[in-house]
Amino acid sequence: MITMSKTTDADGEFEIEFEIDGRTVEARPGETILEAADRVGIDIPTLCALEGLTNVGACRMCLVEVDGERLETACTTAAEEGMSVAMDTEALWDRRRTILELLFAEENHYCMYCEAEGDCELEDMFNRAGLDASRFPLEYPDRSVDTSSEWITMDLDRCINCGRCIRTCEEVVANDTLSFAGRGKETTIVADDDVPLADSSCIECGACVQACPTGALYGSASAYRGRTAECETVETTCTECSMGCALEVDTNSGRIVRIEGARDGEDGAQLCERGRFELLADGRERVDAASIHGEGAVDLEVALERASEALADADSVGAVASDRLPTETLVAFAEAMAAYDAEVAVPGTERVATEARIAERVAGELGTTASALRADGPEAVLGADAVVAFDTTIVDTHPIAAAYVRRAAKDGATLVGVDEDEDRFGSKSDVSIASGPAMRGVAARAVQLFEDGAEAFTDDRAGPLLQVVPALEDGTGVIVLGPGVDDEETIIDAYALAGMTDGVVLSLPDRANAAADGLIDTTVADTVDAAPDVAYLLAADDEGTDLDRLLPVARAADTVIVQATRESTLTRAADVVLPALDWFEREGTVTDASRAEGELTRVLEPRGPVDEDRAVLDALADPGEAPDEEVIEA
Amino acid sequence: MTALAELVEDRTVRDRSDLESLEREGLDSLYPGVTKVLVGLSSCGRAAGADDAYEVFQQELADVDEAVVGRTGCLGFCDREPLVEVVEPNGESIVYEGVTEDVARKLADAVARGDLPETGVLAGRLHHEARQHSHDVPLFEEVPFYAAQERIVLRNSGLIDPESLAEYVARGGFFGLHEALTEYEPGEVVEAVQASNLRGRGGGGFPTGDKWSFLAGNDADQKYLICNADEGDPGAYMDRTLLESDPFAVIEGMLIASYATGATQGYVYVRAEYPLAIERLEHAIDTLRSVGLLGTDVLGSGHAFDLEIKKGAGAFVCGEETALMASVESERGMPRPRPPYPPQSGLWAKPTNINNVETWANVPQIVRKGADWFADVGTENSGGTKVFSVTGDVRNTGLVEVPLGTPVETVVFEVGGGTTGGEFKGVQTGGPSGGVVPEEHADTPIDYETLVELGSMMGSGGMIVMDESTCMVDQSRFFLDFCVDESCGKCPPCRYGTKQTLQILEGITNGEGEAGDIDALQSLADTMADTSLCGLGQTAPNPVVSTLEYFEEEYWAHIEDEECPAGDCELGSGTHGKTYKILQEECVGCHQCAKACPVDAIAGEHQEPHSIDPEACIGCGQCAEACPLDIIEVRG
Repeated sequence: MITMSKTTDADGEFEIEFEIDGRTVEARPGETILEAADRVGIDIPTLCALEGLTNVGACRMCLVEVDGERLETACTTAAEEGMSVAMDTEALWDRRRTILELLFAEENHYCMYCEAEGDCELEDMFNRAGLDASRFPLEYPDRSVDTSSEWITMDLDRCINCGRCIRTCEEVVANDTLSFAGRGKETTIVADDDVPLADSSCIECGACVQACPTGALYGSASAYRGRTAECETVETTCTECSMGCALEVDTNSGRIVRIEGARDGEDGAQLCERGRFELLADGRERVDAASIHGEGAVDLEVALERASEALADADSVGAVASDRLPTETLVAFAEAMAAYDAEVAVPGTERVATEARIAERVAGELGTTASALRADGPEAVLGADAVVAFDTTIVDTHPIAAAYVRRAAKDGATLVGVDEDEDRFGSKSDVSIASGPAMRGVAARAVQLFEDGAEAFTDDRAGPLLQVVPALEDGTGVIVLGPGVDDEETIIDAYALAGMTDGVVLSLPDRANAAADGLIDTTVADTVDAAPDVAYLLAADDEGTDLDRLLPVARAADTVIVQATRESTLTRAADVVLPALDWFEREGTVTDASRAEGELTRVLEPRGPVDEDRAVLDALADPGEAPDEEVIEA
Repeated sequence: MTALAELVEDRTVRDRSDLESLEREGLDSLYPGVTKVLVGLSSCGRAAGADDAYEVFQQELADVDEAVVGRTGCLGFCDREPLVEVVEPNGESIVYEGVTEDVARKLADAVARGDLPETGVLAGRLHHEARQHSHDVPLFEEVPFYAAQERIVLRNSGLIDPESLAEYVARGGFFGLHEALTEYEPGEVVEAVQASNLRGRGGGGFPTGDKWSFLAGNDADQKYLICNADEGDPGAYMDRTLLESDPFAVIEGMLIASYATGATQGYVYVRAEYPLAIERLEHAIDTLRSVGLLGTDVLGSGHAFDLEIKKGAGAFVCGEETALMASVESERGMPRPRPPYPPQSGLWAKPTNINNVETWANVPQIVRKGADWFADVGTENSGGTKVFSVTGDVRNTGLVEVPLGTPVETVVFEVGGGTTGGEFKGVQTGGPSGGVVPEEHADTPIDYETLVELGSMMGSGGMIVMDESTCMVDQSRFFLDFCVDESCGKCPPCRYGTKQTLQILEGITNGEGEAGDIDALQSLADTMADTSLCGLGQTAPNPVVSTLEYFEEEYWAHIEDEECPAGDCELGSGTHGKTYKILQEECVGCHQCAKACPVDAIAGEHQEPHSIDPEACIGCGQCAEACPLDIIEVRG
């Protein structure tokens, strides 16, 4: 996976030895005093520094005395052999206190009413400095509060202008929405040209919220619901797409309070709107009891019996499971359905299997290996010299991968966006190709261009591609295949192009666990073909278009059994409804686009009749046996 | 007619003989064999009405064969503008002062008749081969304003047409560059600048040669030079004048440095508030490109250097070198932490050398006349001269160039002609980063270290003379107000420390001062000086600290007695010791004074007598200047 730290390229040995407050500390060449101190647990006070962002030396809190003669900011100064650094002196704390007092008087810091109280770095710094008031007269500036966004509130009364939100939006998310406006004490944070967040280019990923040290930026849905210290924090993996980002979920009194990116994680604490905010607020009604159509709610055993009877009696069974479920559940699903000779499908796996097949074939033809043609993971984009993105809807479906693409473009990579409709990367792309439905044509022409040279081209659409191939040839190229790429020819040409230019293909399957190829040998289908007698649909908490995928099967079948978390048109029309767990109750592993396994950890204990989805499936698999005790909550 | 206007096919300057032919051309232009009327058309002159005078001369002398009209830059005595110099064919000249449109008409007539008046004269000069003056006029060197000056950097100002390359060459221009390119190794040029003791004229005073050596010693595929022309100190206009009057000198300095350090691209960062300077620079760059003195093969040497202008956008902080570079990079103009320093990592992370306009302008002569010659002028630690803009309560306002080491009192009393009325109190140097040199230290020789020792600094050259009618608390309030406006906002001690300091000073000048204010000011000053990210914040407290050191009793008078001893600030009359009164019996209510008043202190109905509100009046005198009947009385 990726490390997003912006620390100086620190790869080497600890060649440097210096002193902080009389203690010997080691450092690599190029490392800052702050980095070296951090590693050994020396806590130099900071407000504007943040792991993963460029250090700017703005807040002045980390000023340390170097060699007894000058003050330097520890965050921007490289450690040198023999350096003598003083950090914890009374004189320096005097200065820090004055700066903190200035910060306090400058804005409207009403800690009493602030949701960040207890989770605020400014407050912590005050406590550490031994301050509880400011001796300066208060400014009472007129600051704005922006509540336009659904998830993010920007209350500039509390802003200390550290710039962490801006640098996060620029350097990590690469969306460039936030910036400073005004000068001196009028300096403030604005979105785009100073428009409300909801009207701006903001993608509501909330990375800025996590970066903000005070209560200036906070998650509206989490406000006042619990300080971090009062919460239990569980780390799990997001299953909204195939990026597999690590989630740190804070719960309090059995409720989920807040979701943040893993603070020590390799994703750099970045999450998208779905993973950070939407997971907090599923407004759909929960399926909290088993039910039978026409009979209402029933005991789980009754429903299980009815279901297994229907399955056993059926001439044909079609079974489809959501690809957002952990591998263990999908294996149990496949085994259970195999007991009924069912035709089994998991949407999204077809693409993965197809691609695997194509990669092998193309690799064979080019005399290389399939793994050589594949990117190690989305982070491969970050170091690329050229990125060709087929299907730019990844901006919506895989926002973090899209952020990597934007970052690569900022770092100088040539970016080509190919899409059926408009290039969602917009002006960030060097070349945009709106291909219409014939995206495959673009890839094919690219291959042709490489093989035959520019002269072979007569098609207008080749024009932009003339820039693509050299970009791919000159350096490391990554061809990104978004979830919307479903035709084989495009995939073949993409792998061919990668092979011919010494590049790699980054495949982004739609959902979380679609990449679990090889683990589910029977599920190479996206859907069930025939109209089965009985349809078994493990819908879990799928919604929207994901749920819509299951409807044709449901309509075609005579009897429909649904194992679902939330009520929907499907559950209301189904013959038997079995409760399923929600994302925060599931356990297991998922394989993401990097082919790495992520852990799903139970965040909250299930409160319904089902303790594990697998138990329901196991019970169905052995219809003769009495339902397992685990199935019924004690 | 400029050299550019006479451009024919190939005017490329490839070698010394090309330079020499330009030199001849320039001499012909400077001394055309007929009477030459030179009108000073820098911003100071134009503000005084020189444009009108120029038009008059052009019209009136159009048909006079024995006279030509030309334009030039600033002669330095800005108080007396418009200045017009009439140079006779024999090389004798008379500089006339206050040549407004009407005066110009009479003078043009006199020139046409060949009978130059000896009134309205500032001084006479001897040009070219003239050895004695036949007119009864004081010579330039005898005029007190000029006597103590040594015009090295300003040698061409007020003499050449700023747009004429030929005239610049005729005065020795580009021979320095030629010498550097053909007779010196790059390292030797650096050594020469080091030996000259030239120090940064922007205020830092860092040895220029050492700075160049850092850049020269850095191996990189691209190196840059920057000319800092952001000149933001209030009241300082030395760089503006240099760029308007002698732009080629600045560029030649950069060309010499590009050879010495290996830089191939330069940027001049000019504040947008200097449109004439920008115009003259653009013209100079175009001209030099067209003759191969900028471009891929400078003076036929095979060395490449080109120059681009970047305009500022109204930010004092962009005079700070890292904020300047951020601005050139199209980023928000905020300073960046140093290290790394620009010669290591500057513009777009490439090695960069930044110098001030005046620093660059000194370089060509160091090469031509030698490092020793330059080092001999000035003091042991600082070679050469410094240009100062002398303003304030002083008789002779203008641009002054004196050798470093000249005592402050020489500038104030000999050059400046003393104060305008009251007793001399002190001189403010260094603008918002500087402090006061009080009367008791007026014998201090002007140098980087000596001023710092007194609690002030050289700064870019602003020098504000103050007499007893200036309130020192108000002075520091003024500079802090400036800093509050100009702070970039990146670091808390500056953006809010300046505001807190200003608030206290405003309180003191409003009669709301408290006993703890002095300590509070000192404490804020210490924090800002120690912890601010850049020089703006670090030096913002200097005016306060300096005035506290020498004039603490004034602060206490404001705080305890609620009195302004100078009779100046809010607690005083607020009018700098002056009172303005409209003579009611004479006033016809034309409303011109009210229109001119910048603080709306004058009230009156149309065609009814107007009156000035003494509370609101700030004593600027605009009303008196605007009154067509001259019936506004000034006392004090």
